[in-house]
Amino acid sequence: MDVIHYLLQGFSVVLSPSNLLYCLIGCLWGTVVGVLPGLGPLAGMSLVLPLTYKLDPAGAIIMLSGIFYGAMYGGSTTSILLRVPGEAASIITCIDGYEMAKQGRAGPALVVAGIGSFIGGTVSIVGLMLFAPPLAKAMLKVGPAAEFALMLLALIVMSVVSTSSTLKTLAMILVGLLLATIGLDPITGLARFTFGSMYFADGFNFVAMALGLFGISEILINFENIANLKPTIKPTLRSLVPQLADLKASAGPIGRGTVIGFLFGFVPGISHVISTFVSYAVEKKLSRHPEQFGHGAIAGVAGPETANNATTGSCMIPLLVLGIPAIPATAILLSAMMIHGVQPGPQLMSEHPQVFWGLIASMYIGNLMLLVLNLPLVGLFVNLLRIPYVYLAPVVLLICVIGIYSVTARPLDIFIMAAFGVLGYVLRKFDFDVAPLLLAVVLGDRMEVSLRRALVISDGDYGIFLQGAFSQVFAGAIVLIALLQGAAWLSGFRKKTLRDVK
Amino acid sequence: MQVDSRNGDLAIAVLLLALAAFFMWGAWHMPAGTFSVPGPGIVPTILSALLGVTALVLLIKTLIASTPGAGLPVAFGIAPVAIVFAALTAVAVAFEHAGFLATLSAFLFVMLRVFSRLGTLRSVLAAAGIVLTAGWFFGSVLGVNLPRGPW
Repeated sequence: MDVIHYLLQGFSVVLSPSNLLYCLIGCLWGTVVGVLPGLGPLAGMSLVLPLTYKLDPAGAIIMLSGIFYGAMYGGSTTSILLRVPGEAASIITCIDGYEMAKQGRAGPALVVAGIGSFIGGTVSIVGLMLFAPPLAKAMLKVGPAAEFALMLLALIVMSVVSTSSTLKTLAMILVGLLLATIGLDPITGLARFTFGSMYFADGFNFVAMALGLFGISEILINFENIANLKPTIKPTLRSLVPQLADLKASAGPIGRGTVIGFLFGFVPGISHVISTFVSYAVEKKLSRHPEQFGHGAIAGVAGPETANNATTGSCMIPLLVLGIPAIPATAILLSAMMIHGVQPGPQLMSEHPQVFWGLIASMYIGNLMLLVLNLPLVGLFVNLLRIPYVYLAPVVLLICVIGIYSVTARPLDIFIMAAFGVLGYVLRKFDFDVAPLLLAVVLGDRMEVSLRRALVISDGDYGIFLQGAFSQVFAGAIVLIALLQGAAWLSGFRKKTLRDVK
Repeated sequence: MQVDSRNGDLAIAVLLLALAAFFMWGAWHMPAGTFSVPGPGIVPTILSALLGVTALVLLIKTLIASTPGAGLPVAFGIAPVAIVFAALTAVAVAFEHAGFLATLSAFLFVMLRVFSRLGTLRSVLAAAGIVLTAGWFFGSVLGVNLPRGPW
């Protein structure tokens, strides 16, 4: 009953006119960045992040999370109509979605993707609502040793699931952790790598880094790739009505996609992308007509599109309950929360219930908004692709400059953003995944504090990392992953999987 | 411009080695403490050592695994990258001195003139119009404090 009571409180927060407006703006902007190739949820959230500083915490988080799950909806549109994934989680939808569009069945593909996204997203929020409170209660008992082990586990899992090589991902994680040491030492207050400048006392500005690594680098890459995208297939409103057979054929994939997506949402790294590949593979395996996959099978659209939206709720759990972002998009949310003086973690629910339950309620409303808005407005969103990228990119760069300056009012941050943009461009060109770098920057500071606090508590005894149920579980998971990874390397499984995914 | 992916990996591995050396050198001058009671220098020392080893393995692996020229060609848009970086750096330098209107109008003009097919006059008008609108929206509506410069 407590959950219902708190949820009603959350609805009272989100149903205020201003928060409803922020939710709508977030969903619409999310759809736009999802539709536009090269501007995914990360870039979309990074761009808007500085503008949310003027809002109250609940409004800011509602708007940013709206962008996150809105982008998941929008990404499918260009995949189906153009064979161009709006964002990474929609890559797999290109295969059967575009084939369906070529056969004149773009409408059913879009509708099934929309319905699947809605169901996956909504069920995932129910899961978030049910699992988060008891998990938060349990996490209150977690000490610094277990916290360190958990964050180490998150980084290890990320290095395993990343699509770039383990060695490259490891290098990116270590660079991120080293960058996190810049600034005042969290325990003694000694300045590290600041060269006597006050600018670096708090380390690199996270927003400048995120905007550079994801926003600017994306624009630079797109300057080469996207000259003039023109939509060739435009569905009419009438064609959006799916047949009963389509809905029947999609029911199973949507159900399975929901479960797969929800479970994969807990995996740090690129869970929303991996979940779509797993869902597609499962549907193909279970299908009575696997030969139809790749030639317009509706299950190949329904499953993956449901799965990527079903991750949105569960990937919030590590952030809201543990204060640990599992994916870069939730790292941006973490940054927004911290800026507003909201510390995510086990005490979030008791200290800032309006933010926690307001966010959950807004996700219900946002998913509904997206379902209602997306299908009738699909033509409008597709028309966005008619704006040549050469006009769009300079305006986005302009917003980046104003946005980053509004955070700290320091022009040096504009330069930092540009430098990380070029760095991100070069790294991505050579298959170095920059997401682990950003997550390591976010986690680095806390990992060091947890490590040193644990050692102070134990009087320097490293055995503390194996004491207590939580520490043992996390340490056991680390050992298990190491063993599995070793076995996979020996059998050549990883190389094959990477080749298949690429 | 095309760059061999093998050469790119080698260059990045060398840069990572240099970065590890830099952090190691910086951490060397900090109180390290002991492994039981780590000081401010111990974590950067361990991390830079690990990064150095990782970069070295990457370097050796790339050298051993393939012969020169065996990597995939990677296309690099040097010109757009250099122009965007230079323009953003110029904005960072001039922003507070010249004010947001002049700086961002000049920035947008350069971007439109270089990357789109708009003529000079149209680029000037478009840049001024967009920056004025952005200034009104961010400054007046959202209350962002943008530098006005000498004007």
